[in-house]
Amino acid sequence: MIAAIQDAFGQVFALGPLAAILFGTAFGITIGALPGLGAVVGISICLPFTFGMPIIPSMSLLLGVYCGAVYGGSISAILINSPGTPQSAATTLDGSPMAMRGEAGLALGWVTMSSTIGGLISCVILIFGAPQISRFATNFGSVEIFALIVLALTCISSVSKGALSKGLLMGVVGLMLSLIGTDPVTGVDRFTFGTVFLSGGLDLIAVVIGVFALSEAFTRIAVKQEAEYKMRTSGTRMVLPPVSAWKGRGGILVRSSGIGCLIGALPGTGPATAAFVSYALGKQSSKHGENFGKGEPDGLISCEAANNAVTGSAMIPTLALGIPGDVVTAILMSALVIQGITPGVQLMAENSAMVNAIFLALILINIVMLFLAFPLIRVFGALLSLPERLIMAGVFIFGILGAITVRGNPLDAFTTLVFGVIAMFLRAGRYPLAPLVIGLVLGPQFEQNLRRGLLIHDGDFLAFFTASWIASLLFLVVLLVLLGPSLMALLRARRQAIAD
Amino acid sequence: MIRSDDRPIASPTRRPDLDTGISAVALIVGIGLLVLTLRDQQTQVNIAAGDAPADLPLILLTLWITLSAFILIRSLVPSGRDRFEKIGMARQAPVIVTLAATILGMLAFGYLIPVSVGLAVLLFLLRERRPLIFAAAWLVLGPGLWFLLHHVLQIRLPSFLSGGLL
Repeated sequence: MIAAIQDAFGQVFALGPLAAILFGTAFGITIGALPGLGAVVGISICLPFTFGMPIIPSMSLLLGVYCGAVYGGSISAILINSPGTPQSAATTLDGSPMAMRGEAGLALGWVTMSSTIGGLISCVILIFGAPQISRFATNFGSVEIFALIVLALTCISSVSKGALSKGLLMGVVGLMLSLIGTDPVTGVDRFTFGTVFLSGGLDLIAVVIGVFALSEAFTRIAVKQEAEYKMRTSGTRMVLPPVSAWKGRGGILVRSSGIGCLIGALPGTGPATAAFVSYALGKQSSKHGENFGKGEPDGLISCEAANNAVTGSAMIPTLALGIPGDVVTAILMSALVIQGITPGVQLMAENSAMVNAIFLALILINIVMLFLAFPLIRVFGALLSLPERLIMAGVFIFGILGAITVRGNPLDAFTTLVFGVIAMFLRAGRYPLAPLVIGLVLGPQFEQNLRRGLLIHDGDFLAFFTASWIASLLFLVVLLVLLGPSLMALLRARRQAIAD
Repeated sequence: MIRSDDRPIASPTRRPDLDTGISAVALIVGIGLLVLTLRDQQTQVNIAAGDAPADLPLILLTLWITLSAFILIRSLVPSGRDRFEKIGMARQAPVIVTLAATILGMLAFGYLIPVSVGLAVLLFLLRERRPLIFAAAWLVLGPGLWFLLHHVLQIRLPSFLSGGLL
């Protein structure tokens, strides 16, 4: 083990891998910060350049882009309320309110520290526990993943404080939106109204940009006196939270990183799922849960630590089982195959030095990300010194660009516009928008795992509760989340009655 | 992005019609989708697997209709009414129309031409009147971004010419 780690150090601490880490991370942060251009686009652009590179520099470059893009998405989520990537959608919930309070720099500081620490915790866990995690992850079948998603969806009710029925309706609408397109099991079209465009389903990033960025821009331009509505005149500087501010937040940081590690190791999930599950669970467990959605640092910690922890653990099914969990890891796996490496069960045993070098590169990427964040955030923050009308024009253009670059279809920009207008009315009617996005993100996995589970268990719904101890435990937590507040209220009333 | 002391859009007023309107639209859409799902259900059953693609939509639409009906009833009861912000469309409508025209234009003329025209109109609607700033913003956000993405980064945007030059 020690010899393998020493060997890994030798492979990573060379000019080529270090330069690849630096360039890849900077490029990833930049491309992640542009709405719509996420890790997939960034890695796709860089992939051809890796063909002639040795294995460690090429993986360092691609992983740098991956981690940088996951982190970079949070910059635009905070500064212009438009998540650069789907995994940063949860960051807008607390990041944007902080920015609106004039605390954009501090919000970026929380996000940067949480991302870095989350990523590092994930790497350490991976180095020492990758084989165990991969064995545990294989216990998660469709029933267990379904139970996990139900738990996350149940927490929708906790996100929509004060408007439970509206929050639940938005969650259901989000789930329904995720069903648009070709049915993954039988292949029939649902709610496509005969159009080819809708048969591919709604693009998540197009909807998210419309719901968050465009609706806010529409609301903002309703204000007539622009002179009275100035933006900040100085660029944003990242403000790292003081050590004292971390007091009492260590638990949520470690817990969120753990959630990210576990969810990342499950094939078919990804950073977006991890961020929302962690956010929902963080709201339940945090001392400041009632402030989630109003600019609470715990909210930022829970989603950012989790989505960055995924970047490391997503490599477990890819490397150890040869099963890419999502599009990004599929591209990473193809990069390995191009290099003549076949991911699979034997890889961890036969190429332990290379696997350790990849994990070490991940550690370095997370550290480099922290230092690169300072200058890059200043560049992006300089946007804030512009007059608001120019920012709004930028939001509209980046909204259109972000929507069409994902699938190259201009009609996706129309989706963004339609959802922007709908969300503008929903905002005015005080309908919470977060549950809609949570439903949309988790919807496909919710349905696929439900139906796969039913097919496996001959249509027996009870099997979801009894098939395994993991599913039973998760459904028990669901029950506690649902009944907990009512039970607590009853208990309080009883105590009050006794006291009186 | 925006300071907390910024002027609010409008003072909150009693606008039960907004809640009623949204929930009524949601209810009508929900019922419409339910009818559509029930109509298609018979033809979409996978008999061999005992699996139907309409099962989950039916469950979700039932919840949708129940919840929107509940919100609608609540909005009609005076004590249950919420206060809402006024929503005026005078300034948004031209911007929304411009954006829609730009997007539809992209289907026929590619990215560059409609966005360049649409951006100029947007900047005018957003009251940017300084010629130098107007020109710089138009150049950077319009042709500049297009050139960076389409030609430098090779992220293909909708093209007017089949070769992708424009």
